[in-house]
Amino acid sequence: MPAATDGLGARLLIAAALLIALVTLVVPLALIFASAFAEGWAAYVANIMQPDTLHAVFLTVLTAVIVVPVNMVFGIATAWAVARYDFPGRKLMISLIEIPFSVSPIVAGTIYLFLYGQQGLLGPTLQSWGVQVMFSVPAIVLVSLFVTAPFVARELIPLMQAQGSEDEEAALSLGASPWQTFRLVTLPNIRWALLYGAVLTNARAMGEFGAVSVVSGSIRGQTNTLPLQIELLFNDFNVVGAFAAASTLALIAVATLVLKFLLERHAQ
Amino acid sequence: MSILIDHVSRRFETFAAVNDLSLEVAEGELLALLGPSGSGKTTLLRLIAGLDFPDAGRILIGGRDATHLSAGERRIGFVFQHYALFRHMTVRQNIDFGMRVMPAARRPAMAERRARVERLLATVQLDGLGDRFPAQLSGGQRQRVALARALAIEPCVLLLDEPFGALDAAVRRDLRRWLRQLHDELPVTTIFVTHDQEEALEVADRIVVMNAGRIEQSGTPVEVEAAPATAFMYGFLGGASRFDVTVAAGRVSLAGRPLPPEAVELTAGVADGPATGFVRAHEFRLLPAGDPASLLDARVSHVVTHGGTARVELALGAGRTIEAELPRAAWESLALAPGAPVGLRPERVAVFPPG
Amino acid sequence: MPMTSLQRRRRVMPGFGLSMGIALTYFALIVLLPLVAMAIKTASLGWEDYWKIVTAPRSLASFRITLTAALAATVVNAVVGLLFAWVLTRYRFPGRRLLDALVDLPFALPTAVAGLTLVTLFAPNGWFGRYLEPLGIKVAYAPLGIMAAMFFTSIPFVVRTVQPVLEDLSADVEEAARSLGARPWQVFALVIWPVILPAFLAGTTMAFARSIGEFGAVVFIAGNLPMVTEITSLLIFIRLDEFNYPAAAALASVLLLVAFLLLFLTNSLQARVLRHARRD
Repeated sequence: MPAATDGLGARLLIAAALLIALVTLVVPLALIFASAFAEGWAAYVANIMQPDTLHAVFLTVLTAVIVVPVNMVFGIATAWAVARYDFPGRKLMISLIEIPFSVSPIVAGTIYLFLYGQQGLLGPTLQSWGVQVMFSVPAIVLVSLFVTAPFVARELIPLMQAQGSEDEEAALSLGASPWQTFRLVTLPNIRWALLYGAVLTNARAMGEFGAVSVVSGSIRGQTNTLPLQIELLFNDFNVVGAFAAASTLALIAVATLVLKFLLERHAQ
Repeated sequence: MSILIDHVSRRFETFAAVNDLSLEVAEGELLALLGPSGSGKTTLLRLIAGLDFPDAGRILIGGRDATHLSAGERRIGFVFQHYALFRHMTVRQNIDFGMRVMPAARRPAMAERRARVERLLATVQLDGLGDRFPAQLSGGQRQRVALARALAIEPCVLLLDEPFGALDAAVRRDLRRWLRQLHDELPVTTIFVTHDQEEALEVADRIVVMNAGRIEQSGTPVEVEAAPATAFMYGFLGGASRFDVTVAAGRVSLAGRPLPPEAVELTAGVADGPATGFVRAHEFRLLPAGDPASLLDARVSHVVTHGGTARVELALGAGRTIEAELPRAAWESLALAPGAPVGLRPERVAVFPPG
Repeated sequence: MPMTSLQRRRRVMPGFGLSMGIALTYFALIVLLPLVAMAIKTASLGWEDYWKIVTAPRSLASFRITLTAALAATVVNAVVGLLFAWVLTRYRFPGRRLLDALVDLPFALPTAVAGLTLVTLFAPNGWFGRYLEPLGIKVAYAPLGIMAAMFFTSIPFVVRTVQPVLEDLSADVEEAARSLGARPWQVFALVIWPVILPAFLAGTTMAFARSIGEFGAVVFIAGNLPMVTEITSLLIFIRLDEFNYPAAAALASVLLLVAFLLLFLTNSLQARVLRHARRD
């Protein structure tokens, strides 16, 4: 039970928290939209409809469309393996999954450069086959897969561990096939956490900057994702254009928060 | 169908949960697997269900070797301790699940499925609740949904893991009686696991008591109640007092006084020397202090009278307390108050090797 | 071999081979393989070259700048995070749910957007800058800006690790302590603090790790002046741009090692959080 809020100390703490939140969270969010619309609706639409920005939107969406389902499959498989079986190295596996989270985005991009770049481990071989990974869309997709790999798994593992395997055992003993068990019992049991993991994966995949900037080559209208486009516009002193592009990502961020809020209520 | 468990073992790391165990369950029998926690009873149940596989031995169901069959292939109805109802499905959908996942060739027609679900809802007395979700039901209702779901696949064997464990006392009593009746109407071979002896004694045709992965004793409730076969059984059934006794040439003495031979039950393997004797609470006779027939001196420390019986707590000295149970009238005729000295005479002492 | 012992016993739950196969193959291809490539690249350097790169004045300056800014940001985050977690779990007030949802904004908002926003706020004519500059406080294009960016991007860590533990700590434990005569500060120091400490430390470690690695938000606001406001991530980026791959590899390996160390620390701390949680 929460304590009474009428004490002076409580009021001071609440006031401090709200003030800090106002300065650090609300004002920045407000600034994005205020700046994006600083020159009015028409300018905003014109900024968004700029071909380079539009292409960046397309590339960002394309990346998310590939990354989210792939990492959902990986997340489900990992969570299933870790939460349903006991095997040597299980704990190690749980912590290794977190590696992409703890690695700096720049380092994430760098390790991919050393794998697929011209002087990389596989780069020369692939190049001799005519496959160019670096500074192209596949590289952007690959680093995005890397940086978002843990999101779904880390949402599912604690939930599936808490739920235990009794439901699946019940389905199996009632004669369900493995696939029926997964589709009719497991999937409905984890759907909200799975969706939330996908939402987080999407937010990060669309917003990744550091790793993508290393591997994309930032070719205008070709390998520029939205976050890179923002930097480009900012460096061109087109601040309103930068904020217009940023506002689209900020909208996705707000949508992510709203979805999170709704999904958490559903899960209860 | 009948079940034959033939020298089955299951180890976890170094711990033998089920240790070279053999057991036969007759067709239509209602059997209780009773034992303390960790005795291997749930493991045995899961081995029969195909939710776990033995390291050694065979399991035959209806004469057919089922050792290597998967859970789904065994057609066994399993009721989980916490029911494992599918929370996103209604009661009806839960009960229908087993039919829904049948291969199309074996799956009953839609009308038959519906009819069977309605029939089962009536059987488990949940008519009208078919469209509820599990979260909207009470514990006892969930238990019955789980049972109906298991029965819907027309199982050849019904297994229940601690079926009444999570329910409160009153619901538990009702459900026990109801399960007994249900089994009389629908005589499917049924095994249920419990740690509650009262439950086992009341519901089952036969009780199998397990300890440390093995069978300690097996028999009808009357047999098990009347003649516990091992020292463990005396400890597990409770209410018995344990004494150190001495055996010399077939004569047993307690605290230096010889026991009358007709009161002694020597089990096999008892050799001369120290041994362990058990006396159950209702097998003590209380005598006025100083009575020559008395074998032990005690002092009354506390009395609870309940219905027609009196439970008397007796201090033996050296901080040891034992319990005796006698008819209320007999107790009242002794006219003893707490603190009064009293004589004790065991009417029956079961003697086991020391340990 | 562990694998053979895995397969010996029949498993009831289906899909072990499939799920394990997908998980391990994917993990090997997406996470492990690039790390191996990186390790090979770094190992080809030789110790002497490696040492020379890592101890070059510009490298050392970048380590110092990154570390001090990250430390400062983490200290602020520890305090603010604890305050948020406390207020969110202990009090009911208008706007509580909104605050709870907003705390995750820095995770949801792309770092480039955060950087753009912060530099605009703190620019001399910005909403904050116009009041701070006259006071002589320079944030944009200054070390303080790096700290601000690191602070913003790691706000949620402490809150989100401490909050569930505080929520879990039932009020009757506190009431019991109060009824035994403990004063409020004693309740906090003796009953609450020891329980939330592992989570708090795990949260601050995560915030620190994130700050060390932060790039997007920082490059916008830092000004990126070598020796003054150039963080290690940026220096790696510059070395890559100059095709000076050995230098990039060496510097990246330092960040990677720090990241692994912090990951290990977080994991051990979280194991302790779980130990507390398993009290029933």
